[in-house]
Amino acid sequence: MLKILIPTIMLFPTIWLSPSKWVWTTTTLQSLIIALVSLSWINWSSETGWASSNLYMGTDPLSTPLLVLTCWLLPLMILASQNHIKAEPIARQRNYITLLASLQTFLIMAFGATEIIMFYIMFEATLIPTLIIITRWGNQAVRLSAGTYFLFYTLAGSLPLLVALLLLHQNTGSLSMLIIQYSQPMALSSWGDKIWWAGCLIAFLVKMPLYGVHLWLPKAHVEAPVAGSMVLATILLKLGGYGMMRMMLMLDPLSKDMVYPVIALALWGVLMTGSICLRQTDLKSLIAYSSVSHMGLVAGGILIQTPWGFTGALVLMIAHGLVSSALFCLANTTYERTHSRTMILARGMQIIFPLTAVWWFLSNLANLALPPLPNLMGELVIITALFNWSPWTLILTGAGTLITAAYSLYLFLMSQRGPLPQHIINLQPFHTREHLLMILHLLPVALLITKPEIMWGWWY
Amino acid sequence: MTYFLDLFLLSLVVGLVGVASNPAPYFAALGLAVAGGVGCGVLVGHGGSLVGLMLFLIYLGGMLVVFAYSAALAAEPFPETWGAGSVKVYVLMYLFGVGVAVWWFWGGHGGYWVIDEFKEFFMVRGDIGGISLMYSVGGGMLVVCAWVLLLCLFVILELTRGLSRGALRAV
Amino acid sequence: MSPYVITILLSSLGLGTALTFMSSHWLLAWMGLEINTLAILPLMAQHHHPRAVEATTKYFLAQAAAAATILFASTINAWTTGEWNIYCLSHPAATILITMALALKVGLAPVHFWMPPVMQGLTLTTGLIMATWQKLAPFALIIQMAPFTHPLLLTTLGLLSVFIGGWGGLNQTQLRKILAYSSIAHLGWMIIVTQYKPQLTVLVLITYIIMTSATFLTFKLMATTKINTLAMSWAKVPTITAMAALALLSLGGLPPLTGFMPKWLILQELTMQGLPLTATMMTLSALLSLYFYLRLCYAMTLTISPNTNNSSAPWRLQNTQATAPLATLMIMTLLLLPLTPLAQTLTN
Repeated sequence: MLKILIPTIMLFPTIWLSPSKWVWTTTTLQSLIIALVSLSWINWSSETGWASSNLYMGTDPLSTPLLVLTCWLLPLMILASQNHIKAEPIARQRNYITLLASLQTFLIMAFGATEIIMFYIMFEATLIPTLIIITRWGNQAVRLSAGTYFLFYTLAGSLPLLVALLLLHQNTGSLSMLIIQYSQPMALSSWGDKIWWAGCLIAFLVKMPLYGVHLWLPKAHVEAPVAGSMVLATILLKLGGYGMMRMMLMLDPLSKDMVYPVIALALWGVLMTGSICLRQTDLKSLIAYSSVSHMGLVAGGILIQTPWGFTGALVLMIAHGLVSSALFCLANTTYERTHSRTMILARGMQIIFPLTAVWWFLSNLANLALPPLPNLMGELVIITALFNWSPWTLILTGAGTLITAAYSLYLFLMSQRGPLPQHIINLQPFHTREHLLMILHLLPVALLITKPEIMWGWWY
Repeated sequence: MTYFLDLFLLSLVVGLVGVASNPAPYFAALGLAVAGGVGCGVLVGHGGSLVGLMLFLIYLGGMLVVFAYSAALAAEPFPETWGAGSVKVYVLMYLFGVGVAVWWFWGGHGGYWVIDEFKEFFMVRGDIGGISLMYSVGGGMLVVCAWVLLLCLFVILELTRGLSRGALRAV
Repeated sequence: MSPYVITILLSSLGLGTALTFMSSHWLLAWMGLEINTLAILPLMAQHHHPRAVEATTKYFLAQAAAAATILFASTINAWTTGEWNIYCLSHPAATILITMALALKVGLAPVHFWMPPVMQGLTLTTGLIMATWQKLAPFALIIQMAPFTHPLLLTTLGLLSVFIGGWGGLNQTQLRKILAYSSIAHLGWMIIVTQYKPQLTVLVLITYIIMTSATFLTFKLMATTKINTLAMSWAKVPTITAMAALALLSLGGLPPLTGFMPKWLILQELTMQGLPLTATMMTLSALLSLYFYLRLCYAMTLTISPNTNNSSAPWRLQNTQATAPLATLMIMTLLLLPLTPLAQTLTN
């Protein structure tokens, strides 16, 4: 654990002490090395599944894929932000990378925590860097309300979670993930217990986000700079899913009856947000709503509490993390050239940027879950698990996948195909950096086809 | 003696009502003088002769002279007397309040009693004993009191020294 | 003001608080409170400005009324029980009166109305004294009183304070008023836990003093008293501006910062006492306060150039303020959360 955490913390001296022309190079390199070293976590060997360096930090098959994804994302974020940050004074550039690195530090501690309160604190700690990234480096005045939405939606859910966790701590005497699953199942029957159950989950459902409490996400995504969108889509949403998987173990006797409305909302959300995507005009907003739709499926998979559901949810979280981050990067490359997120203003890009059109094509295919890709595995496993739970869900999930395919194609056709608008006369060619960024996003997705069991979670 | 005490208590109430009902400043000063004087009488009537004397000397002799003096300085040509309209309303209101309180507490209902269980066994009276006790063991407290007097002096000087620039009447 | 007078006033300020701290006798405690009030009055009216004089008068009236009530209530207690000791306050009327009087002294919710206008009339330095040092003596008494007071009264005071502190600050544009409401909200957190674990009250008081001192000193360094001049602060002291946003979020109680520690421990204590509903209400009230802290962050740090400012640039004079205390306090404001185990050990 510390062999990753300490180099991550040592990023701060790198950022602030390296000469100004080397800042981006050194930080990218160091974070990339951290990401490569973090791959060694995947090689777990212990019987219990937990590999820990001390009592408070540890990894298990559930957290490892998310941890590796976190480490992998930092060099990508640094690569992606170079273009729009480099015009600023050097101190602000360093500040920006500091925020990204601090986000990674908090995230590693969140996913690595074995104590639930520690997880909670780190879960909340990610709010501040993200808030600053969104509201300080966003582009329009609306970013302030987006930041407020982001902070207050999350906190309104997670502050009751703190009280719920403290109550749990009082009942069980410990909040360590290593032992809490062996504690006596609680007899939960009263109304108070039901409210406690809701308190335990609402924070994570808001973070996922569940349809109905998702309004903060499109706003935040649209207003955030590219790194903010990437980290939101890739990791921060997954904190919600991860937290839910950890909490579901302890909520057992009540969950069976309590989850119906939540599952209904989640599956309905898959359909609704997919339909919203179909009539979006805003590129980033479309990708954001597509995230909500995918995360609805993840929530459904987690809430039915079967091994298949959990596995599918984890696989989909990892695959969606990489793919939606790739889509946000692509959207940002368009945005940096046309300075608009409106899709109708940037059509027919295939003619000018044929190689980029390939990236768009691959990312969109991954987003709509084309057969060999891990996205399909995740969706298929979740749909199967949901079908086993209740055959009627097939109507919702089936329609959901259909709509997903439809809006992914819509996205591709709108942005890449068709005639080039007359007003586009002078577009900057693509940098190698941007192609590299896309390769680094899509290569892991392709490699995961060959060995998907590293992200199967506990049931590997 | 009992009639005197009743008279004192009645005058105390009347004096306080006189102050509280917002007349012109020198009526209020008069009300304070009355209340302070008969208050000393009440204390003496209950046996606190030393405290009563001290209060009479310091309060009436010292402070009220200043009150009366500054009230005279602030005098207006057409003062609101106790007969003026708004004052009369206040007077009636306060007297009604006093009446309700008297009606409520009449006959010892809900009243408080002094606890002084060793009254008969003491050679000296409580107030004199307290003062001598303070001088014998409360030396630190006396020092603090002296310091507070000094502090008061400075505070008043500081608060009033900007008068030429409109400090006290600035608002 | 002459340095001798300042010395006398400041030492009396210390003397008053110290007297209240060490007294076991109500009369002496009352005397300490009065010395405290008396000594700060000239400091408040130091600049002969109508608003400062108004603030001084308001403060004097509120404090004098509170002190008179304390004296009155302790006399009632002595009259009925024959006991002047602070720990032997048993008469219910006296306890309730004294608790309310102390609440008036520190500015807890139903009797908080004097506080925002008074803060608004002061300089930032005097405001800092008002928000920190002046709370110590009354809180020493409140902590001693808490076991005898009706629990419902303390809980009501606490909940009302956090909610009014949060709501009141929402529509303010003046920093000192916002800080006054923030002080009211923090006092609510302090009072809610006094009856269960007084050590935590002390902990909140200490962390609040650290955080609010950092904030006041920052504003003093930037010489701003309202939100729209705050928007120019990034040009004066960029590093402090960046830190100050975090300090404000720490006041709001966001997790990786110091401000979360007292809230966490208080919530833990409240849930251990079987009061999850109260705990949830307290946490949600923190959102109200957080909103105006966030607004300050937006104005100060998060919206800076190239955006246009709608306030003109003020004069920039050479900074004469010592920055070492500010630096120390700022670091403590941001980074004390890992010391929570220590705090827990000390408060057990």
